[in-house]
Amino acid sequence: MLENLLSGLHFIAQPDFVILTSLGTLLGLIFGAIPGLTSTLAIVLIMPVTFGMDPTLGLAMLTGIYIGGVSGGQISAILLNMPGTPASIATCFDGYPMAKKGLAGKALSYGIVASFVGGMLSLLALVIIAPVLGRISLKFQTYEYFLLGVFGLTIISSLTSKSLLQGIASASLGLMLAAVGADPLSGVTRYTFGIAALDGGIGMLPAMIGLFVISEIFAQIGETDSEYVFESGAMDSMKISFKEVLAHWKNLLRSSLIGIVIGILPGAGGTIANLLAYDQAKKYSKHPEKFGTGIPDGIIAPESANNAVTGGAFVPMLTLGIPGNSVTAILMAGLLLHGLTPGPGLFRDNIGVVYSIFASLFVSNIVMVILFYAFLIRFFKWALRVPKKILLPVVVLMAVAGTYNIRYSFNDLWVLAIFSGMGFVFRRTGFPISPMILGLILGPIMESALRTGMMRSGGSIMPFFTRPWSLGLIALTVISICFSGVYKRFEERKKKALIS
Amino acid sequence: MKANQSASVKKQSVFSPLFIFDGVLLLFGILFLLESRHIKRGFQQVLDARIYPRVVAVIFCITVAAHMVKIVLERRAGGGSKEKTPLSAGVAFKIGALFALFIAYVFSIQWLGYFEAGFLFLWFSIALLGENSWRWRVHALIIAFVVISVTYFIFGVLLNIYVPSGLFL
Repeated sequence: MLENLLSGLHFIAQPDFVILTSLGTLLGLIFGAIPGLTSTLAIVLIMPVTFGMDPTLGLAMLTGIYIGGVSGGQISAILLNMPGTPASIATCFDGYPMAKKGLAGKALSYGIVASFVGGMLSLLALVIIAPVLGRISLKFQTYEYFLLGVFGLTIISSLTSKSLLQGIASASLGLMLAAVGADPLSGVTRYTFGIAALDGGIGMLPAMIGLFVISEIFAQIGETDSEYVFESGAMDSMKISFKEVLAHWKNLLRSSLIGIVIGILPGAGGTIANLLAYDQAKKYSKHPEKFGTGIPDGIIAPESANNAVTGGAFVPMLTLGIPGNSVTAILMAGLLLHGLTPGPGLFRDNIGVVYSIFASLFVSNIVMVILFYAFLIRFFKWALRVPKKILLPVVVLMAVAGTYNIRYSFNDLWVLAIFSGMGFVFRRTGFPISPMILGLILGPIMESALRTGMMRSGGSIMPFFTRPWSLGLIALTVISICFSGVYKRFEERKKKALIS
Repeated sequence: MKANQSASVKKQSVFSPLFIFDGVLLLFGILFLLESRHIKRGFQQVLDARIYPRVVAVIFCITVAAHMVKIVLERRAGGGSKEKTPLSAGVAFKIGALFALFIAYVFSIQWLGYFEAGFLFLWFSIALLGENSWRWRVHALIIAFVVISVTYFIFGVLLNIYVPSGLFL
């Protein structure tokens, strides 16, 4: 354990590791701050650039983007009353009123400090919990790998979709599209419809860029024509004393814990943590009536919680190979594309990569604070004035370059175009996209695990029910389906109560 | 008269856009199921190369069909989930035109090159999304030129990322 932690520190001492993590954090902050652009989008766009890099460096950059993206959402939430990311919705409730009072600088400072504390506490939780869970998951065999995939797909289908049926349909569509091309075991081509270009299968990244990035661009045009102009007045001082921060320690700790727990739960995420932490801070406050008028507690709670989700969300992804949300699903794709399989094997075969991720989380949280205070606030006062009519086509340009660079294939550009159209239609009809993406990612892993497991058992399905871990996973899958209904009702009630 | 009107509204609402979308998905699933007949078995295994994709396609078809039934039942009961408000004609035109530009961009990259095609895409799309005036079109031209120059510097000079070469670059 100590040796591995020291290897984590070894990464921090490498200049290229620190530079790339910082660059990723900067990109994440920019994408997170601009309403409509998200860290998911940034990760998908940058992923092809990281292919040529050492996996530890590439993943460090992507992790930096994730941290930056979550933290950056507070800028537009506080300055414009528009959450840069959904995980900053509750930050608007007190952040914007505080900015309107002429205390934008202070509001941002509270948000930055809270994000840092939340991020660091979640990293600590990750360092403690992940290796323990990783050791347990080493006992898994092919049967459990397959059932883990089923569990992951069920969780994401039930929690990210309005209807479980639609979620399962989306996940199975992903699995079906993942089967296009060569069979992973025998090499027989499947679902190619006689088109030679499909022999190599559907590229995961072009599909993801189309579904998430380009379709989002079209959705942005459809949702509003507004131009995000920040009426920049004089900014107050951003200085806050340590004493002022310490006065809110209970809120910081409580909200961070909420974020960590919610982050670990697959399917939940920053949005829920953000709203729930705000709600709890209000409940435990001596002055709940002041919430919504622009008080530091109303910024500290949501911002520490959404950043605390980041470390928590890595726990199921790294240890079990179950991405808890769309960002970790994409990060998981990043791991796979670098030849690393998240889940039990990662802790056995590539523990160095795990600790490099811990190190990049540490670095990006520190860099986030430095970048904010050094120049980013001033930069954002300018950047938030870039109109969407210019920004959106530029993002398309970047997406096309990113897609082409994956394997220098024009076919990938056509996959991008087709999936962009599909993504837009899915968004308009409310058909969930995340389960489909996860299906595309997990499809080959699940199929190989199932078929290898069946070969080992001579065609018997009994090991799925007689092995304790398998049975446990089946039980978890059933419980998660039942739980999702209750959870959805709770979530709806919470949102309604907060909005009212 | 009123009863007739409400009956016709109910009948129309069953075939909502969501229902039609599900219908298209179902056809897509059936297409995959039919195509699965052409998959070869591969070498002898307990589960051959055909079974897994076929089972997945069946699950897909069943869930989509079940969702269609759910929509019909909900609509008949007078409920159902809220559908997004339709896009205004102007926004729909912009989205359609931008998608057409995007397809044209993807198609023309191999003939014109990444930067040249990108410049044209940027110019037309920025002009399309902005005001309908010649002044803005000229602005769009300048913005496209600046953005593509910066992109060329970053991709071509700084990062040395390979993109399709074309007429000039």
